[in-house]
Amino acid sequence: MKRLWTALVLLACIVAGGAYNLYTVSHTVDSIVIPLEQATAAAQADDLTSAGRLTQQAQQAYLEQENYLSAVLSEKLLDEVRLGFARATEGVRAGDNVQLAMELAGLRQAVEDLMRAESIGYGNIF
Amino acid sequence: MTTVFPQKVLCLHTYFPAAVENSRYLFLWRWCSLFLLFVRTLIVYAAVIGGLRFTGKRQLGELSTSEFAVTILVSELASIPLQDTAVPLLGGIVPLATLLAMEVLLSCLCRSSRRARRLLCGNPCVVVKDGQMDAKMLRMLRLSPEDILEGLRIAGVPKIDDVRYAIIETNGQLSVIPRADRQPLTPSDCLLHPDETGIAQVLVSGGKIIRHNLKQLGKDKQWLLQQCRKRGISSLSEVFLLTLDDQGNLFLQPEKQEDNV
Repeated sequence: MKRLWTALVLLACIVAGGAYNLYTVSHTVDSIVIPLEQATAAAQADDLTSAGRLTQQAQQAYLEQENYLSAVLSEKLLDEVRLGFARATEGVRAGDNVQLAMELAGLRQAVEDLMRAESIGYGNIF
Repeated sequence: MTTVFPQKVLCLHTYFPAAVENSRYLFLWRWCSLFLLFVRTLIVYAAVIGGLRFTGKRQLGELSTSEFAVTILVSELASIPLQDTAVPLLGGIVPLATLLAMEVLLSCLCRSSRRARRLLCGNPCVVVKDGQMDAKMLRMLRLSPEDILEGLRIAGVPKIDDVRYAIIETNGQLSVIPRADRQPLTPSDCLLHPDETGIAQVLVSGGKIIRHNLKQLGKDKQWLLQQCRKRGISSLSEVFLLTLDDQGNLFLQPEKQEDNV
């Protein structure tokens, strides 16, 4: 009987952990994507200073959760995000707003892929 | 030239910043990477052992269908995070815990519900009755008469005429019940009543006393020493193995003496 209860508690923990993970990843992705969208808009409006500041803000939000994301997501997905931030930072430094907008779009896609990998849907189940 | 390190190793950057600056310390990073593998292997090993212990002894004996499936899946799942450090450890441990918890739940369900047991484990099937094979059952089980004859031979019954029942159990084994006049003779058939033999308990192993067993049999160290002296052994350290069964039969094997060269 003790084993049965342990199994039930274990399954409940897994379900609760899964729900918490979904919430945390979704929250993290939102906190990165919002400044990235604003940065893209700023880059398109030729405001590179604001674009740089917002990109840094997004990177800060990512770095705060990096350890957690490393524990639950594949490193390949995280490498895409890291690469995206590196390219976007270089884009800001180069001062080319068109290039920067493109890099930010790629980065946003990589960040959204983190949520896509975790979401419960037919695509992921099958 | 910039050296690119795997990200999991880069987490150690905080502790070894000098190593990133100087590629001469590359060996340190490689060692860290190996150490990471070592730690991950230990964690997965502990999780598998703990998980299998959690499912109980059922898992280690004859396997039913669901237990067999779980055993195969566990070995596959455990190897994934070990082979690829880019895969999070949780990616191996969560499915492992889910499978083993489900296995415990299903075994509890099988115990409490006959219908669930029939669905998950199946029923024992009688394939031979009174020396006659059940052709319909053999077809259903996709077994040939040769398979049954082989099983009978393994069970020590070479002639099918001697079989009262042969049953394919839920774990796939063939149980054979010979006819009453073909069963081996037992002492009770001859109206004999031999003494029961007890289970031998180890009291001394490699010169060390197993106190739990000693207490269980109601003996003490003094009694042990007395028994040893009776057999010409002065100290317990000279005893390799000493067992005692509940009928009071004592077995003693002394340590082998080193040959003098």
